[in-house]
Amino acid sequence: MDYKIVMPVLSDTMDKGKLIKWHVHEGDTVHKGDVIAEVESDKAIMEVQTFKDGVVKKLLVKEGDEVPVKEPIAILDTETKPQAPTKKEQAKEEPSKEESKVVQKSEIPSILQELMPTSAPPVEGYASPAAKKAAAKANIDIETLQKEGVLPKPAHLKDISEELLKRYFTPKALHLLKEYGIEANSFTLDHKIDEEEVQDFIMKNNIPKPFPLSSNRKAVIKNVEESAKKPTYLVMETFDIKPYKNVKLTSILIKTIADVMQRHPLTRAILEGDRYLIYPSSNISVAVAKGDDLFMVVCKDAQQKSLEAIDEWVRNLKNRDYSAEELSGSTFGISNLGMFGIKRFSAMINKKDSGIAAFGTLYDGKIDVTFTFDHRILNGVDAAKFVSDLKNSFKGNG
Amino acid sequence: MNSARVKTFYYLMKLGREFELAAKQEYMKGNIAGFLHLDIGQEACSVGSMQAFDKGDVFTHYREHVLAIARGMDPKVVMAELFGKATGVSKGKGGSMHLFDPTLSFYGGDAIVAGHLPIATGCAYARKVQGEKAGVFAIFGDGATNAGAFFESINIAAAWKLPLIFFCENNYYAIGTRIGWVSPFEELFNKAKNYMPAKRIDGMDVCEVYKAVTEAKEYLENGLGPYFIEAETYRYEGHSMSDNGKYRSEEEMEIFKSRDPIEKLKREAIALGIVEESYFDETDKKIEQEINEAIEFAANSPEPELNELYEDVYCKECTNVVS
Repeated sequence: MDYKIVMPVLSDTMDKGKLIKWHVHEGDTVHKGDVIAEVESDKAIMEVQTFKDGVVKKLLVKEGDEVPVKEPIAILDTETKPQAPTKKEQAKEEPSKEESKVVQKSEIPSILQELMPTSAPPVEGYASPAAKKAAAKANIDIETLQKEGVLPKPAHLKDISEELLKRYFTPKALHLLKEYGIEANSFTLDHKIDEEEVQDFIMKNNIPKPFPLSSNRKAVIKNVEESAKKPTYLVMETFDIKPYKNVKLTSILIKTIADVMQRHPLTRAILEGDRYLIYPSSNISVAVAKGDDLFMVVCKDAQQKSLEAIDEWVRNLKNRDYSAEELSGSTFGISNLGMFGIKRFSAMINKKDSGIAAFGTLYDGKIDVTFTFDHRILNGVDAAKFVSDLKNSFKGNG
Repeated sequence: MNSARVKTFYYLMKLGREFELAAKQEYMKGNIAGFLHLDIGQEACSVGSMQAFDKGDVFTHYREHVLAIARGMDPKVVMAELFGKATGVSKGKGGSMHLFDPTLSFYGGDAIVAGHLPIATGCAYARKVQGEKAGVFAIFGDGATNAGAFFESINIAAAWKLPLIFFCENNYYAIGTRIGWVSPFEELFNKAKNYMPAKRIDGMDVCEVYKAVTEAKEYLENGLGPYFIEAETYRYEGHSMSDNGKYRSEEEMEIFKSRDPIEKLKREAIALGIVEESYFDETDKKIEQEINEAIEFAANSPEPELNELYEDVYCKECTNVVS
């Protein structure tokens, strides 16, 4: 049974089609759905599929012929049972090079073809016109590189420029360029540039290395910027402190301050609009350095906890993560730089705290403490009463 | 999954697929004029949604042959419509993009992208005022979600709690434009999630589509307002017959074809032992017969009379309206 394959109608305005390429020869076996030819309509190059199984009996037109729509272009014998592998299966085994070429050329709009450098031969491969133009200039063979898997399909302009960079820079040099954000055209591209050359360039021009902020840094910056707006004043004192064996000094400081805070309501207060909120608990925020990060971790209900419990809490601080709950709800803070031999320093108030105590190093049984208070919460007198109460509590550690 | 339902799903999806393949062939032979947008690959969305949403009004985009068939339109009158014959569902005057049948409450094929969404919203408003529960189903593509009409529709539908299902077939390409190039994200339910319940589902799985639309329908019927479903799917063919689809990579096509909705349903049904294997072969034969009959019917039907040009022009003369 002979079945005529006709020039397909592929758009409403198409009256003839140009046969661009045959994908089958006479005698080939085809299956329903196989691509048998490529046809140029008035809009695009389209693939023609066969709707029936059979053997190609005769090709009625040549490649390049223009044929009115609905005119036969091939005859299929649908009687003979297909035996050999079909075109489709063969094509999978050995992709034909020419196929892609035909399609590719027509993909480049004529306007761009004019813009392409005439000196350089046009580049083959599956890529955007802009990429091809750049590749032609840079003498990059897209098709071959795509075969090798170096370039993606389709290749875009950025892929070509990356490929170009690879030719002039060693991988390490490229890495440095990216890291410092240096333009590739800062260098004369007539040889392969290595890491050393880029390093020299960085030193010579004193180029800074961009260093992104960690989320912790961002949080700290926000916190201290807010803190700097507060009307604060300092109170300096020297306390007599006797350290206990096997208990960290910070634990003693937390416990003593927590107990004294119970007698000074304003140290347990935060300012909210036109009123104070005075909390019953002594919740103390403790400055903790963990690696490069700084946290103000809150010791909750410290007045109720035993010194041992607080000490265990302090010792665990460095080797665990904190919940959001643990990083809020304080009314007074402490910061200790004594372990670095710092004699005295002042600290910045954390979040909504009424104040913070900055502890220096222990010398001759004494510690210099600098308090920073928020004047909106504690007047000088309130602060003085609190500090002297603390001083008495520390004498011989209460 | 129950046996009868799976059989219905399979039959309608396969019928839709074969119908579209036949339409493609007839177009190439020159028997169909105008535009032709094929639904091949997206049958699960069409069939799953129409099987679930069986009562209310349906407003569709213009890739709606399979939707119409799944809604209950006879493939014969659909094919005749594509052929532009007098026996077509729109008397041969609408063609592929206008399969409109008030008896099925199926108002198919608005030729403007997102153009039907305000109309569907208006209809949902009317249904709400009338106190009807069944509501309205509007189906559209990813491209439509970038149109102003879309945003205005989800806005007012949400504000007035209109009984309206927004069903987005996200096949990633608005003709040849990848949705990610022109939208800040490819997961389009994000555009509606602040207005109404919105979810993303696998649009290559007919059962999942059916389930989601059924849930949405129940939500509507309880008077809770609109509902948004995004079904991730893929069309195997070009946007229309004149589009060669070269903007998509073969790898991507392979990935989606491996998720083919019809093959998947068949595989799972056989694996679970819900449907006997012989059913599929018998059905395929039956469908082939049906499609041949549809083509024959269309080919042998008469062209519209010339005086039909003056019919259905003015609304007052026209019975073919949403009632």
